[in-house]
Order: sequence, then structure tokens, then C-alpha cells
Amino acid sequence: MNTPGDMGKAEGFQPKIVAFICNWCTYAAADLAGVSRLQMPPNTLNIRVMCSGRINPMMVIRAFSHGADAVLVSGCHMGDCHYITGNYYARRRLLTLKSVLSGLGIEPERFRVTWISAAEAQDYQHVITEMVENVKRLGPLRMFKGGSTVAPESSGCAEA
Amino acid sequence: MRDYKAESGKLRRLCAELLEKGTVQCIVAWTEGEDRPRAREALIDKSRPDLVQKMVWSPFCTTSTVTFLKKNKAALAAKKVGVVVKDCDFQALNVLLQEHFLRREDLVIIGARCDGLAEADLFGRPAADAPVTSDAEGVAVGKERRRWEDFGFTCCLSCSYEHMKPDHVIGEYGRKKGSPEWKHLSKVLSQEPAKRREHYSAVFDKCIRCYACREVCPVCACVECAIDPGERAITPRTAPGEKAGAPVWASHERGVSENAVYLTTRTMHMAGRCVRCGWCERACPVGLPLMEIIDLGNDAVKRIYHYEVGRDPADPPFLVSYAETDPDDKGAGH
Repeated sequence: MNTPGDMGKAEGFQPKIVAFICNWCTYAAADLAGVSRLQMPPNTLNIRVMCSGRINPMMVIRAFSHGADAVLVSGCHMGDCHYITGNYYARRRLLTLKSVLSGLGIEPERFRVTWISAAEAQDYQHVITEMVENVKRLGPLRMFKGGSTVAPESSGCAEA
Repeated sequence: MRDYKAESGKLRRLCAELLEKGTVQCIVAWTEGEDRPRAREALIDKSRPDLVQKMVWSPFCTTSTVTFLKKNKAALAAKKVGVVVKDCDFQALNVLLQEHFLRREDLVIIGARCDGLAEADLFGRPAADAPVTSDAEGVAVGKERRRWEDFGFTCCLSCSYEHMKPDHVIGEYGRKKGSPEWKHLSKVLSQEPAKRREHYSAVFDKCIRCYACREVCPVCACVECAIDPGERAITPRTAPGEKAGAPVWASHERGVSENAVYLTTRTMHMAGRCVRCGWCERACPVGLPLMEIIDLGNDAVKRIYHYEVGRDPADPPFLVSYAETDPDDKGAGH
């Protein structure tokens, strides 16, 4: 992990991207991308959730504070949610968060909310590739680093 | 010109009648004492007719009766409670009603139309019978006059809320409400992201995590705060599962990163709930420009969703509802 101090847009910088992806659409798209052997950078840490509506804004904030350089939340297209309305709730919540984070100075490219269906493996590849490129250009994120962080083992994110 | 002596008289008569008839068991209202023109909240019932005579409404009623009400167990337990509110308190009350923290049928709302708040400190020690008046330009206590802009209540200058629908009304607006223009925010947002990050990091760094902003907030009413789960004491009888189920979102340590989690989370929690009373900023012991942070959420709600906080008590809370017409990723970001 980068520590504050060794920053700069160094050549060898490998961004850490946390991707919260929904079980029914984007996870399947990621799976399809894998079996279709679509090439994409290996910088993402995929976390499968049952629905994008499950994403609490605090999870995203916590990911940033634990050292993520970018966060992706991806779910089903509007109207295609397995739970009918989960992604509608997610959309309102996460776009508000996006606006807050970008106001704080976290570039909008670092927090993306996308809707990718199970068939759109190429879209998934495109989003991941684009994000990695963008974040490499922007460099490591410093804001939430430095100072103390909770030891990872004590920060189980079981419930809101 | 508004004469607050007359308005307070009307308020006292109304409240005495409500208590006398038994319409309400108790009333949360501002009272004044020795340090007039300052006013503070009190819970008044039938057994205290002297307090009814001390009831007051003026621009010096700066504190929130809703903050008082939501923490007062006696008031919450009463079957019917009267509450005297100004515009921002009424908004906060609507937010709490939307979240079912309070029930409308338990409340009798007495709304005092507010032109803005004033600092008593700027008036020294006025005579006990000096009348408090206000007009479009400012506030006067006796002969002493100050302009609205002189006071530190910057949020009042940009307050445009005129949608109070209480059960009883005290007073009429004496001036045109301010324009909802947030200059402090546009000043910050005109900078580059890296500069903003620097600016906010410096703010986060200073926070001492005393949670005064949370305690003083009229709409912060969660039984247990996600950031500081103080209610969940761990005893020998606490089950392991219960401990495991309690996430530690942010440690209590002070540090840019942990403070950032606290304040960003608070901003998100306030989105669609903040009534912009400005009390968090005024309560902050280290003088952080908290409205610059909280308004990022308020701005998003207003700009992207055109949502007005605290309009209708029957609305679902903003962040736990949706509309199919919500925009898709456009408009977010600065």
C-alpha cells in the first residue's frame, strides 16, 4: 500500500480498485468476461453483493479510507433488478454520495456507478480498463490516508 | 415592523388556554429570565403558570425546541405535547415525522414565523422592559439597533423556507426571505479537486471528535449512532454474535482518515434531512466550517433531485425512497 509521502504519479503505480458488483448482473458479466478471455487489468478487488441496493454509502467511504484509489459500484440496469427496485434505491443514494465525494475533491473518475447486465461482458471490460487508465493518470488518492485506520480484522461490515 | 412583546403576549395567552383546556399536557417553548433578551427552551406544564408568563418569542430564540423535545423523556412520554417552533424547527419536526420518530397526532404545533435570528451579545445589557422589535433591515432592543447582516447567523440570511403549516400561527413575516445562494460553497467548489482535497483535509485534521455537532443537531435522532455506538455497551453477557454484528465504521482515534469517515458519513446522513439551521457549525468547539461540508450533500439533493427538505410530513425520507425519473449519473460531480 502507498503511504503518504511516496506519492506522485510514478510509472509503476498500480491502482487499487474496489468493485462492489451485484450477483445477478455485473458479477455474471465479469464471469462472462473471464470465460470469454477478454483482457483487462487485474487491479480490481471484486466484492460480490446480492444487490447494488445493499451498498451502504459508508462501505464506499470505508473502502476509500482503507486505501482504495477508486471504487466501482455496478448493478443491473434500471428495471432489471432481481429484487425489482434495489438499484433504484442505490442510484439515488450513490449519486448523492458521488456528488459529496467529488465536492470533497475526490475526482468523479474515482467513484463510478454503472449498470451492466449479465450479457454485457465487453462493457465490463471497457469500464474496468477505463477506470484503471483514469486512476493511473490521476495518481494515488491521499485524502483519506494518513492518520490512523481501524485494523482490518476489527472492521467487519456485517450490518448497517 | 414586528413587535415581539405583542407576539409573546399572544403566545402566552394561547399556551395558557391550551394547557387550561387540557388540549396539551405540556408545552416545549422558549422562556426568558434574568439574562433577557436571551431565551432558552423549557418544558412547561399546568403546574408551572409562572413559566407560562415567562414564555417568549423573539429573534433571540436561537436554540431549537426540537433538539430539546427529541431528548426530553417527559415530553416524549406525554400523550399530547405542544411545541413552539420557528421555521427551521418546523422543518426538523417534519423530518422527524417522516422518519416516524414522532407522531403528528401527539403534537400540537405552534409556529412562530421567523425573519431570522439575532445575537443577544451585540446588545449588551438592555433594560428589563426594553421592547424587542424587528423590520426588514434589522433588530432593535429599545433604542439599540443592529442589522440582520451583523449577526453570525449566516444560515438565516440564505433561508427561504416559507411553507410552515402549523396548528396555530404566531406573527407574520416582516421581511422578504433571503435567496438560497450558498456563497461559501461556490467559493470552495470553484477550486481544483486537488486544492479542495487539501482544504478539506485541513478541516478534517482539526476535528476533535467531540460529537457536539451531532448532539446539537435537531434531526440527529438515531437511537444508536453508527459512528459512535455508545448505547451498545459490551458486558459479560453480550453474545459473541452481537459483538461481531456491530461494525466498527470508524475508530474513535483522531486522524485525518477517521475524521474524514465521520464527517463524510455525517454529510451523507444529512442529505435530504439537513434543515440548515447552522447549529453544528456554531456548536463546534474548534470552529470547523461544518456547513461547507454538510452543504455538499444539501447541494446535491437540491441540484440533482430538486428536493426540498421538510416540506411534507407524509413524504417518505429522501434517501430511502426513489423515483423512476431520477437522473442517471448526470449532474453528479463538480
